[in-house]
Amino acid sequence: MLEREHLRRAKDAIEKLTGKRPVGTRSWHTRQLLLEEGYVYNSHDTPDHRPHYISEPDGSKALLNLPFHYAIDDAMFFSFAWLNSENDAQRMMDPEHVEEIWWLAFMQQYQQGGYLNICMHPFVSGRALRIAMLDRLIARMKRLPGVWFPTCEQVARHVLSVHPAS
Amino acid sequence: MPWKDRYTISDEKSLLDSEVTWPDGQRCCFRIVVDLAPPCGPAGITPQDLTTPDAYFGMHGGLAALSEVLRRRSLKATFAVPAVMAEIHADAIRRLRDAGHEIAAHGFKHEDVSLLGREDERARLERTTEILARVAGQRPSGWFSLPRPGDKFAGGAVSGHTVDLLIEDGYDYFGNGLADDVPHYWVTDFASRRALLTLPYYYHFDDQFFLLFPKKGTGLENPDTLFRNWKAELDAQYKRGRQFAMVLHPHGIGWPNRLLMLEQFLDHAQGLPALWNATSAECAQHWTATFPAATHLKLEPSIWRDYPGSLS
Repeated sequence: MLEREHLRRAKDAIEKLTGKRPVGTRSWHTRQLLLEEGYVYNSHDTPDHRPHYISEPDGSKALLNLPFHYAIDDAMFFSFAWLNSENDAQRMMDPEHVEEIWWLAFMQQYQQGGYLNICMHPFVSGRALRIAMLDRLIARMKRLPGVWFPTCEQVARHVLSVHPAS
Repeated sequence: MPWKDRYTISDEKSLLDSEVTWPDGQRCCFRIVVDLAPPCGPAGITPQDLTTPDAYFGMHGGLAALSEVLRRRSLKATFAVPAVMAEIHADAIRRLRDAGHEIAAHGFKHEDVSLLGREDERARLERTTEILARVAGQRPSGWFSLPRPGDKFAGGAVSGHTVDLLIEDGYDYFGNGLADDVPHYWVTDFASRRALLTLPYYYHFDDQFFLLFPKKGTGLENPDTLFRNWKAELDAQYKRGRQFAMVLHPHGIGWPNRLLMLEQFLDHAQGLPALWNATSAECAQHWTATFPAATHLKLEPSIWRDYPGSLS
């Protein structure tokens, strides 16, 4: 089956490069296949703003989803010629403006004990002006007590153990 | 940066901040590129494009005002000039040269060359070199393919042959590459390590996407966004000791209120000690001497594999 082959080759490639098999994905892959291939979470859609399970109607085949939102995605603010977009839809914002949007999003979640998942692309956020912004943003977050900076895998393991699917 | 046969992005590395050096202990290279093509379509500059008020202002009032700002501040710039503009405005080009600016090539008429045959493109390229050499009294050392306002993807005008033809015609550098934020090598043949030095360009530091009426960009007039992009990039690159390049269009930035914004940015830039204001040719010369391809172009075989059913 082609989809399974793709998943296995992706796993092999990542395992070869990092020495560790991937347990998470951000993809449209079939949930059942992801579960069968040992994936612990997807981080893809936004039916809720908190981590949640996506399952069959009877609750079976549940896969954890760690949502991310396009408004917390660097490409939506900075990327030129994103996904075949039209000329009047190019993203040319300056880092200070985006820093403020993300800071407010972070603070809202901080105050309610929530979660923020920032999506970054190295060819977008790796630019010097934006690295400097990211540095400022993280420094501001670190000045607040009790902010946890986990990987998605760490969040997933935490949610799976504290709030198991069934 | 290691280039790979059949490009992948898996482990490309730029030079570290600590490895980048500039002449005489200068801290950061600061380049100004001025685009002398009037707004035009993929067919290149047409007679109609030359008769718009913008085109007129760009080569007269706007250019004069921008040149005066550069003169007053003792700043050197690279002027990217389409051959047809050099023919029509030969005196203006010579005045810019006499003022110490670099005259570089910007296509024959800033047309899209991606659909031309190799021989047609070669003929236009050689003719461009000849015209600019005759007008400016010196062969251009660099070639630009800057974005046209109406291109859906602002890749400028590059074909699969362009960089190879530039090497053949003796160019020292290609002026707008997106693969790094310091000069790097554009590889045309992996096996023979054939490559041309490429200087960085980035849309977010190009005035045409922020000033009325951008075909691309944020919609209307956003000089404050442009100012903050310039300043954020320069401050970051200065701190890291790398490179900064901005692109200006006299028909846009030459308008008085925008020129004031430019001057505010230049006030800030010129307040930074040991900022190296170089023409693109000077930057290229330094880079070629200090980081030659022979020692600094790292080629690695691709890790990419094709399988039956691969989407590539």
